[in-house]
Amino acid sequence: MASQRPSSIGAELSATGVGRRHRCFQFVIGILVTAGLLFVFRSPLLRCLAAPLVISESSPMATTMLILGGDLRFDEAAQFCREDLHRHVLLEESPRGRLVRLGILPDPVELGRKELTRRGVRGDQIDVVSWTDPEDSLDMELSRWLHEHPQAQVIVVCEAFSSREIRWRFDRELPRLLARRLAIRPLHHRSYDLSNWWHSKPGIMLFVRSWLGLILPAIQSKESRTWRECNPELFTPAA
Amino acid sequence: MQSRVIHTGGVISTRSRLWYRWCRRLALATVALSLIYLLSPIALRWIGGWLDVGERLSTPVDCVYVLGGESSTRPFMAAAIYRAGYTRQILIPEGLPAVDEFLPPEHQIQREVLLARGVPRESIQLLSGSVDSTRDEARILGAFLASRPDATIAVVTSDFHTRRTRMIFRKRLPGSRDRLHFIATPTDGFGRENWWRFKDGVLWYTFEYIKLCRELFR
Repeated sequence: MASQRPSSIGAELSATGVGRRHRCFQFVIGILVTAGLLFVFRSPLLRCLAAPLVISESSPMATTMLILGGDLRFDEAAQFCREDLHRHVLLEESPRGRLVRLGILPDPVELGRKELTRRGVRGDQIDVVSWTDPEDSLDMELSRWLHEHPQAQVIVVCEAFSSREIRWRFDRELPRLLARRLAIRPLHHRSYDLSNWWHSKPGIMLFVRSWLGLILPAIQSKESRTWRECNPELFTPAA
Repeated sequence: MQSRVIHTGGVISTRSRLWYRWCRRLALATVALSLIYLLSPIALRWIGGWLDVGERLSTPVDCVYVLGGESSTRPFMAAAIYRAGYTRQILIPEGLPAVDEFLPPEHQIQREVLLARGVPRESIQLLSGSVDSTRDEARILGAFLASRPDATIAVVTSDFHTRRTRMIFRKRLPGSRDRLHFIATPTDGFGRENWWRFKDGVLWYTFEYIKLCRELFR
């Protein structure tokens, strides 16, 4: 009896070792299979990850198009105005950055006017919603504009991946009745869209930026996000 | 009767032990979460600050090399170095066309900023090579240094980008280690003390850590 005990313990230990090795093997196989499946189905998976960022709404009675961004935005607006000569285009005038103030980058409103005129849009069809005070915001100014134009139905054209973020922002910041007068039209970039965004650096950056744009406002207070320009006059390169 | 009392006592004792264990877990979780909440600004500031290895210039350098990107700040720092008399030449890498067709390419913006800040045209040199990354920028600086082997260079980039830049440039240009200085430029809107509050701050700092890890394994 005494001689049998150590061998039974050895057998138990060996069985435990085999069981552990077996579990380990199963784990590795599981990881490899998962990785393989992720690799094989990467395209639909990545497409699914980006799909919630894009929202498209229709507004058949639209009278105005607000340009917030997107590739070929001026062509889209010119086409919108060509379909009905009573329609208007709304440009956003935000606080001008340092490079615009220095005249190095074009002023977005001047650029918008120039490009729209070049595409056949009349000057009286172009309107500007202006918020030049950094403490102000587009939402506040847009709310004011919608109150002043009670008949207006607005299509907002923007970069496709930012469309959900913009929709959420309007829903959060504007009264419900005003927010419902805005419809989002996403514009995909010519070099990347939902089906291939992960192939280009700007596409990846925009994808991450857009998800952060959805997540961060939900967990942060507005005051903590106040953006300030630094002052280059204070740059001191020397010791 | 006796056995019943003992049995009930056992149940009570097991329940109270479970209750005590859950209370302890809850208390530990509360303490841990409170500590994370209280210490997170300190930790996040440290995480942001770790990326910044920028130096201050103590002696003049032959050239200042402004890396592409953040054109609203980096060329301003290069111009400040020039105006302080620490260099006579500024190098800018030739970048790719902008994603937005209505914007000029990066190197054109940088050149315009330098001119606007009083740097003479003849002091600005464009290094050709259509760069798309920091590694490309190191590569074309290497080509420039081949013709100027003794030149000292101040590499100007954003504060959160200095550590990775230093790593890449030292790896790609091992012979120039002592001749390269890395100058940090503040970023518009956010810095090490508040980067986690901004969309672009989270984006840039997170990407910087990811790229830093990628660079370690290259």
